[in-house]
Amino acid sequence: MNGKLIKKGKQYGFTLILFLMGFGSWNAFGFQGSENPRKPLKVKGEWPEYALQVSEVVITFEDTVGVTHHISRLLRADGSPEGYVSHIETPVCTDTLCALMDIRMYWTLAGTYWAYDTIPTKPLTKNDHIEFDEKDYEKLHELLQDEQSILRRRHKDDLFEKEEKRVSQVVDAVTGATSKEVKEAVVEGAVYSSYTIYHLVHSQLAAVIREDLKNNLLTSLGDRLLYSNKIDERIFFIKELPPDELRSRIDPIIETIPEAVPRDRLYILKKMPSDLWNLDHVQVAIAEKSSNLDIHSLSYFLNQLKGAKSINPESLRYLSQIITTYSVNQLRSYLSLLEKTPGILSDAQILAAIQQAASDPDYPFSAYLKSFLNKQGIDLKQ
Amino acid sequence: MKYLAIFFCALLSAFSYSQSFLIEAESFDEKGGWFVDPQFVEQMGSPYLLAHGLGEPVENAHTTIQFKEGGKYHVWVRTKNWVPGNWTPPGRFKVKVGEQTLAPEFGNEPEWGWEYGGEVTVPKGKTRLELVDLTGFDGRCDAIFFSKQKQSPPNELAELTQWRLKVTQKPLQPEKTMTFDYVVVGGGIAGCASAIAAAEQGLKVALIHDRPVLGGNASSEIRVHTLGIYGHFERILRMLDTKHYPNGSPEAYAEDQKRHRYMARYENIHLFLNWRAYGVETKQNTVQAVDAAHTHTGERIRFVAPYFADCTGDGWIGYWAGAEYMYGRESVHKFNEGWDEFGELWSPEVEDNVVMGSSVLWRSYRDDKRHDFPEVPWAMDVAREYSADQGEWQWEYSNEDVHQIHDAEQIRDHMLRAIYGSFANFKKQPNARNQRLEWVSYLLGKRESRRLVGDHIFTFNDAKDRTPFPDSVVMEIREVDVHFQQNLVDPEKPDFLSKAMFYKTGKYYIPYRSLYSKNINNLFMAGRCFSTSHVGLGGPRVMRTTGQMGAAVGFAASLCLKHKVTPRELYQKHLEEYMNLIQIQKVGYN
Repeated sequence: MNGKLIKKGKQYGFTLILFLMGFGSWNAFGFQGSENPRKPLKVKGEWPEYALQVSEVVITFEDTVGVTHHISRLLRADGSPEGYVSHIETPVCTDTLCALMDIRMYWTLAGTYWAYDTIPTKPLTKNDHIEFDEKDYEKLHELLQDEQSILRRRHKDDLFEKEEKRVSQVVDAVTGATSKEVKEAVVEGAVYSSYTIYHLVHSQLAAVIREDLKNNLLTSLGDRLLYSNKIDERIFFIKELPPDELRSRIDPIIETIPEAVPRDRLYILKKMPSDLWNLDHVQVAIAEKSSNLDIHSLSYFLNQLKGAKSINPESLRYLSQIITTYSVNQLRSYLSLLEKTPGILSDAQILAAIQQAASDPDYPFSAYLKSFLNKQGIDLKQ
Repeated sequence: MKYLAIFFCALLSAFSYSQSFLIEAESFDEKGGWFVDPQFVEQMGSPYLLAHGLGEPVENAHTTIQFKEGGKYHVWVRTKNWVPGNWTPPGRFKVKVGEQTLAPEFGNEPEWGWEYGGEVTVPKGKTRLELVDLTGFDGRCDAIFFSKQKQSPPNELAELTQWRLKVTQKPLQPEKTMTFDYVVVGGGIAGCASAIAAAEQGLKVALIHDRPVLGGNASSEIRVHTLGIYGHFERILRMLDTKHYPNGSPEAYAEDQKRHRYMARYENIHLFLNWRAYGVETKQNTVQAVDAAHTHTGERIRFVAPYFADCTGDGWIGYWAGAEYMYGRESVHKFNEGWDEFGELWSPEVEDNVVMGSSVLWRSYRDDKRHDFPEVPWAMDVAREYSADQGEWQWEYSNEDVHQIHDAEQIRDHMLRAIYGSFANFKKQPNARNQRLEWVSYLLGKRESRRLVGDHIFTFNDAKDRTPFPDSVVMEIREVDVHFQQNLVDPEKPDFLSKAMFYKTGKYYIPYRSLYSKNINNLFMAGRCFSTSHVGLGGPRVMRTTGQMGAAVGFAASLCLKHKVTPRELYQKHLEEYMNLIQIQKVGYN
């Protein structure tokens, strides 16, 4: 993590002083201390119907350009945390020509972007003090939701290509691909603002929020995160679980798989202790969701089944339902699973699925299935 | 007639395929518009001819064969439908024997196999044989078999390989042996640099390369520009590298010429273009010889030398010799290579088989007249709605389902579908009527596959910490740049696009100990198959850096030969002399 964690935790006396010293502008957002914040201007997913309160400052953090940030928790009525919030007032230019950015940022408990709000009297501005319009606000929201924006992967100095890539003498289109990608990602006319806010939200402040959650809240929250309606919080919880503790919670964890992005699906499947793959209910529960898996996680799942001691017929039945969507390697894997399961071809549902695909002239890999059936001494049609 | 891989089997009285001919398509006298594609020999058994016409049927390939006996022959063609599905196969072609065109269209079966062409009557003596492309969309022909008996040759790869040896009456060992001081396999930038370095020190060098042009990913066949710094070897690398033109630029042709012109100056570099290594002879963990076959004629040579360099990219020489190697992403804990910024995308908690993918670069141009592009229904489930008129490095394919070596043909074909489909979408725009595909590589530009293990495994930490080594022979300032597939974080994205993650660092170093095999006594490696972790490869995988590796091992080979020592012993006993030799390469280039 870059930047400096000045103070965190329950240093209420200190944070109160800070609050009184420099946080007058929080009033403008419609909250102060423990008052309810309004629903933000842009929200990713849902904003709770119930009232939320803002805690005292729990994290004070100096970022890499020397700006100090104060982060509070968002609390439910019972005092349990719902997310994090901070008023960000930061310079966004390399010079002093543009206005400071005043924005209120919300994170989930997992430290991922949740929402942002502006001060009614202080609209965000672009270069030359041009005010954001609705399209710009939406673009900023879109940018902040993109966990893997080009901005994440670029240093500020590289937003515009300094090393001049020679434009080909023979090629008329070209180069500048990077700056084009940057341009498409940011709010038009606000490259540095977009960059600055993006990195604060996704890198520096997100990191200290996650640390706070891990160090101060994770134990008390128990399994609440695993049942959160925010997928990021569920994934965060699973990542923090030692593999051995995964076993006792495997059912809700499996339920998370289809909702996660492929990266996280693969993560969950890989994290499962190898002996779990021998369990019938694990095999079946994932196979039941196989139609919602992507190529990465489905291939991984099939490969794990290949290494299992035995395969539950019910899981093979579920997998037979998506036989026509398999890649050629997945099909080979599936057929090898059938081969290692004696008598499985007497299962009417599985056999019918294979025979149907094998005799389907539109199915690209029918030849494999014909060959497979032939090898098993089974006719194409029953 | 040139050396032609036509094999008359009539003499094999005990053999069931008596009175038969096997004609390897790649050995045709004239290839017409067809290309010889040797990329997938290890998976499907042979180089083959590819009708890569970007949607316009290519000129016929033809050859002349001598029938010792006239009469009726059954004909089989070994081919493949590269996009099976609910459409007319895109890569269809016909076969013409003399004046007779065989009735079937070929390219229908989803796996490599023999498709029956029916019976043909031929006169005794010479007959012309032609491949007639029907689509321009990558029809492929491996071989044609004529037999008086109606018995299809085998399809299963191992059986087919044995059958081929029988039919062609080839002994197991190559007929010809050549001896060198140093054999470099792979003529990319690393291999070329290695050959030059060794040759400058007086070694007799064989450089074996399976393409007609040198340069590998930098060649005009793949067209990736070279990146990285020159390190100690500016003089050598300037003979080989490219300007910083856009990837895919035809300016790569001029760089090919430059590269070949320089290589030709070295009389003691024996260049074997269109030769592909297919095996090694190893004794007591020491490579005795590398066997290679000509990709057109099938002629074979055994290359004997005391030292070998694996610059194949896929680490084939090491693999065949039994060298320790790695594939896939190591667990973040193995080398402690985590970076919180990107977490699992950077280095996973649990190891897996995902690596950075292969690219196929392509471009189109706007002409002053209209060009139509055919409907490509067989490409659309890959391209979907994506529209493009060119493809840069982001056009990359990798996932948990495919292996960059074993599934290489599938990967290439997937990328071709992505390209044709995306271009077809682009052509639907009203202002795209004059746009025409100009060039699509049919060769994979690979980033990562096998990495051979050396005495030192270079990791992300070596780059991040800028670890100094006593044997630092390669240096780089380029950021560590690791790719991931976009659909891992956004399932709506096409599966053929990647993103890059950059870790900026200062100058870092790669030690000589990462450039020779840990367990094969006389094997160097340079290029992307050097000894590195997955993340470690992110920085030095670019071609000036791999060129530095090549030059470093070329010089090392010369001293190994001089002192009659192994690469490891060179480090242990002659490091100072070696480092002096490396250092003086910079003279005049600082």
